[in-house]
Formats: sequence, structure tokens, C-alpha cells
Amino acid sequence: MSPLFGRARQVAAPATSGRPGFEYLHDESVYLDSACQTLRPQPVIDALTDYYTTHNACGDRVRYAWGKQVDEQVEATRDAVLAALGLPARRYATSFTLNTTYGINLLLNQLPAGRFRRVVTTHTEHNSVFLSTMAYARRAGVERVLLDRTPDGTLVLTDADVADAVVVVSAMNNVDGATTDLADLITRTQRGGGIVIVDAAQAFGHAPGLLRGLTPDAVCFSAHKAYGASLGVVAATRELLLGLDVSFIGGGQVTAVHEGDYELYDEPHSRLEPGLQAWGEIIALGAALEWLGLGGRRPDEGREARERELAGALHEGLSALPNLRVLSRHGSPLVTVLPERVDGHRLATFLSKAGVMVRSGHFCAHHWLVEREGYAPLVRFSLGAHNTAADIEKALATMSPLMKGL
Amino acid sequence: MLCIVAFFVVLVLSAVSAKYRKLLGRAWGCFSRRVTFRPCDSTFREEIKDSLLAPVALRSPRLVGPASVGIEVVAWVMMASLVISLYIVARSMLYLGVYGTCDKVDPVACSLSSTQGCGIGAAQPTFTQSLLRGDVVAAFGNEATDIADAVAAIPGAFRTWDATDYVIPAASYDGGFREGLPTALEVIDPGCQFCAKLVGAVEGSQFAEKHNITYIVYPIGKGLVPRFQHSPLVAQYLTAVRLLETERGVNAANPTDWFILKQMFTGVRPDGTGWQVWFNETASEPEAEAQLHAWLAEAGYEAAAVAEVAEFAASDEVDEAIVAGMRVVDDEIRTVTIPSLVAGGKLHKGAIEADALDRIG
Repeated sequence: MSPLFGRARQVAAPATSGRPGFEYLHDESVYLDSACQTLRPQPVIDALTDYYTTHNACGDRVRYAWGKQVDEQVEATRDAVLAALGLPARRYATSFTLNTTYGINLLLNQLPAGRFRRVVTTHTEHNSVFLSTMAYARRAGVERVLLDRTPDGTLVLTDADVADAVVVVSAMNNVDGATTDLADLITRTQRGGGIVIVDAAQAFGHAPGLLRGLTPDAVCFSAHKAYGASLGVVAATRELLLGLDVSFIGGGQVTAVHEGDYELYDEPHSRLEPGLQAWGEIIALGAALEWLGLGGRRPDEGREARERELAGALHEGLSALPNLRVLSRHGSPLVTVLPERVDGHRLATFLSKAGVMVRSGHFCAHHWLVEREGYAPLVRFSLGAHNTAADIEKALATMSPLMKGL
Repeated sequence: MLCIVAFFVVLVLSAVSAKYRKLLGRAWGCFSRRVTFRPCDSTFREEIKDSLLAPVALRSPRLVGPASVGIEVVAWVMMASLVISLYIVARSMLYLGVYGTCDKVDPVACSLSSTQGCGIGAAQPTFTQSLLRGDVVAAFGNEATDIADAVAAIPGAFRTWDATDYVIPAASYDGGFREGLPTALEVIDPGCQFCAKLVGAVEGSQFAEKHNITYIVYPIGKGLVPRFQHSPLVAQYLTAVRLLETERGVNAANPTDWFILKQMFTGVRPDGTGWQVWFNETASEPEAEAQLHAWLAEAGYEAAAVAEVAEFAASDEVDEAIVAGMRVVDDEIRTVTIPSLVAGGKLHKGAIEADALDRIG
């Protein structure tokens, strides 16, 4: 990013070691905004480049070689997503969209009318959940229930709260990285005739293990927060997908079209995939899942452990600084702080000048952070697989004099 | 304030480099909100400020606070400078339209006009001078009065001028008054070199043959600090001679005050120096008065008559006549440039060339 004023910084040589998969990165740039978008490892970049340079064709309904190759890779990615989430292919299907927000909205906008009595979410959700549930409640004419949490993050709810409900909740929030106990929520909701849509935007990239072994009705996440190219993913039950009242519709979804009617494909994933798909990005997601070790094989627990270790070091370092309140728990890959003597945006600008890139503001959680907590702009350090101990040291070395001197 | 300053800075940068034009859009959004008294786009404002403060923060975080205050102060100073500049530009345009010069004090200094004249306002303290004296009320009062005068003079730029409306009592005419010719009125200061230029142009044209030319003497700075040191004295003698000769009905066809004026403006000393230059730069008061006496004698005045003129020139009656003439200039003609010429239905400010005089008709 070029500076607002002043000269552009000289480009340094890429790092030569310490960042497996990210060898192209420059040591002087410390990127700590993986909660927004992770960096892409070289295999993902290679997969996308390979698609564009060797078989850049459309998938679906093709008879030529490149198209068939695309179809094979896309189908493999659909399977890999389900495998990564531990969902059985006989009951679930994978659709691709634009991003998590888009996926959640596609589902909520096409739920059959009159099927649910309420929509349920929590006070600590990203706007993608908070606003879409608000819009759904207004459109469907149902009540909207906002659940509270105990100080340790446990949801406070009764069975009545989630009876015949559409529950939309994050597995890991995007502010402090706190997680939600989904198993109990899913069980109680489904027992009461409701469905659960999980916002896994943060969880899938940082802690996919949280999502395994669950039976939600739908899981939405963004490939670009999990080392893939820009892409949204919805893994949902075939029953939910086939039961949608499809209204966002077009090419790639119908087997026949009559003067006043049409017939939809039987494949559940097509219900959320109107028009041409992002074939290259889907293929790149497959590469990302493989790189993460989530493509049907044993997850790369070493990567998660390394991330937790770095997060712990960052948390400890920031907690030791004056004039700063750390909001996240120890070990969370999202370390959010409230600077007490300097505006969060200003602090982020100062850090950027030193080559440390963090996000500032309220992270699309305005109801929670502004309306309920009254927080001034916060600063969020979010880790990714590319980060090293040297990154953490540099971030802390930059923060320390700022917090003491500002 | 930073928003407004940033807009103008980015505006200038955008004029020379395309890379700032996207920023200009944001700067304009902020600027337009600010000038319509709505909250500024704080994001843009803070982004600029934070970018400026970032290098300071990394070197010495403790200086961020003072530097932040410094940025605001600089922004206010730049804003004040901008507002003052815009005011001066607007005032100059007003003066240019009304007076024909953007600089009332020194019309020649205005590069936007070709007016050649001496400014009437030269003797008044300027805004800065008043401030330096600590007289804030006078500084703003004079400025407001000047603007009000200029606004009041706007209609004059669009009217048809008739010199007879401004002819003073007991006026004298160059070569005497001739029936049937239109009247032309000059406003002159005996010390102003541009008046000499105008009189020279009149002599080099057919203007005098086609007009009854009269004048009002306006010694700039009279009563305060005269712009030309002997102009009040010369004005006294011109007025005294004019009043006496008119009262007595003598020299009507060849008034002695016009003789003195022409000596003053076009005459040359034996050493080659023009009389006007000598009066302005060399002559002491006694020498100046002696020269006026010499011109009276040259015009045929006996010693006793010269003494009578000298005595009358120092009288209140003469002074009141001069002040009355100056009041006509200030309040009715409202010119700030000497010389000015009312002729051909127009008010001509500053010296004009002979061919231009001939075109007046």
C-alpha cells in the first residue's frame, strides 16, 4: 500500500526461510490481519495460476477435455470441504458463493415461508449474521431472539428460545476469537424443530477442529480466510438445500424451462449457484485444503499449535504493556486490544508506518462493541500460518514505546 | 480546519499529478461538508493527521501530542492565510471594477490595470499600520469604510457622467470659458507626476480646443501627511488666484492659476529639471513660495498684488474652498486616482494619452 503522503518504501528481498508456503513474503512486512483475509501459500497461488494457464475453461455440462478437468477438480473440492468439516457426503452438499455474508443471506432469503417461528442469534455476532437475521425477521414476520452469553462465552438459552427457530451463530467471533459451544445448541435446536446455520468464517481458518463432529444444518465460511482465493462456501444438508424456495435463480440451475415454469436440477449444491462459478477459485480452495491437511487426511495440528503458541506470546507481550486493555483470552489467534491513550485508528496508522499491519475499528460488530460496550475504535492483531516469532517480536517492539510514550 | 486546508493542498497537487486526483474526491467530500457547517469526514481528516504524525510517533512517541497541536495550529494559520488571500483578491477585484485599479494607495502598483495615477488613500494608515500601532478598531474600521466606499461607488461605473455636475464655484477654465463647448473636469494634485502627463497629453491633442477644461485641486494627504510636500501650498496659491481673479473679473480668458499649473507641470528650470520635480524633491517651503511669487510676477502681478495673493492664500476662506473641492471629489465623484478626468460622459481614471483624449471628442 502506498503511503498517503511521502515516498513509497523500497521493496525488500523476500524472506528465505521460516515461513513454509510463504517464501515469497518480505521480512519487513508483518501482516497481522488474517481474520480479514489470510495470505495465500504458494501451492494455492500455483493452483490458481495453473488453472488460468493450462485449462482455463468452464465446468458443468462440457464435453471437452479442459472442462472435464475443471469438473473433476471442482467435485474434488466439494468433497474435500465436507471432509474438512467431517460431514458425511450422503447427507450434505457443498455450494460455492461469493463469501460468508453472501452464503448466509442466500440461505435466509430462500427459506420456505412459514416454516420457522423465530430467528435466533446472539449479541456478539458479525454484521453478516446480525443484519441478515434482522432482515429475515422483518421479511418473514417472525420474532428475532438475541441470546446473551455468560462471562465465559456460554450461550444463555432455553429450549423454547430455539424451538422452530432458525439459529444463526458464529463458531468463533471475529473480535476476540471466543468460541461457541455448538454441539449443545445444535442438539437442542434440531430437537425443537429448528435449524442451525453456523458462521464459520473465523473458525474454519483458525480452528477447524471446532467444527468437526457436529451436525449443523449449514456451515458458511470464506475460503479467503482459510488460505484460499476469494470465495464463499456453504456446506448444508441436502434436505435444507432442496427445500429452499429458490428465488435467486438463473443459468446452471435448471434441467428444463417452459413458457411459464422450470424444473430445477436434483443436485442440491446447484440451488445456491446461479450463473457461472468461480472455477479457478474453487480449484484453489481445493489446493488450500490440501495444504492445510484438511483434504480428507489428518489435519495439520502442528500449524494450529504453532499459531496458538505465537498467539500466546503476543497476548503475554501486549498484556505487559501499559495503557492498553487486552480483550481476548490467552491463546486466541485474534488478539484485540483497547488502547487507552491513543485512538485505535491512529495506533494502526503508526504501526503501519513501522511495517506492522493490523486492523482497527469495530470489525463489523457495531451493536456489540459500540452500542452495548461503548468501545472506542479497537486494534486487532490476527495471526495466520505465515506469521513467525520474529513477526510477534517486531509487533511488540513497535508497540512497546508507543504505549509507554503516547 | 485540516479538512479545508487539505482540500486546497490536494487541489494544487492534483493539478500537477494525476495520482492525487482520487484523493481529491475524498478531500472535496470533506471540504464540502465542512464549509456547509456539517461534520467533516473524520476518517479522511484523521487519516491525514495520522499519516503526518506516524514518523514522529515512531521516533519519539512523547512528541505526538505537541506535534498534533502543531498540525492544528499550522492548519489554522494556513486557513487564515487562505481566507485573507481570498479577501484581498475579492477586494482587489472590487477596486479594479470600481476604481480601475486594484491598489487604491498606489494605482501604478496594480499589475492588473494600466492605470497611471497617484492614489488618494496614500495618506491614510493601512490595515497593517493601524494594527502595528495597536489600533485594532481603526484597522478594521478603515477597512470596512473602504469597502463600503467602494460598494457605494459601484453605480458610478455604470452611469453617464456630466462634468458640469461637479464644477466648483468660481471655477477657472483653460483659455477661458467658451459657449457651446462641453465641459471637462480634471482632478489634479500639483505634485502628482501623472497630472503632468495628463496636462502634457492635453497640450498634445485637440482636446483643449473642443472642451472647456476646468479642474479641482486635490492635494493628497492635506491635513495629515501630504503625499507631495508642497502640494498644499501650491493648492492655496492656485485657489487664491482663482478666487481673486474670478471675483474681480480679470484674466477670465487667460487665468493665472492655469499659467501656474502649466509652469508646474510642463515648465523646466534652467538646469533642465522639471519644476514639478524640483518642487517635490528639492525645494524648501520658502523656496517653493518664492517660485510661486516669481510665476505671479511673470504673469503680470505687481509686488503688492503678489503680497495680497500670499496673504489670501493663507486664509481660512481659501482653505475652506480647497476642502470643499476635495469633498466633491471624495463624496460625489468618488475617485481614488489622481488625475481623474470627467469628460465625454465618462470618468477617466489616471493619466490618458493624447490620442485617447482626441477619441473622447
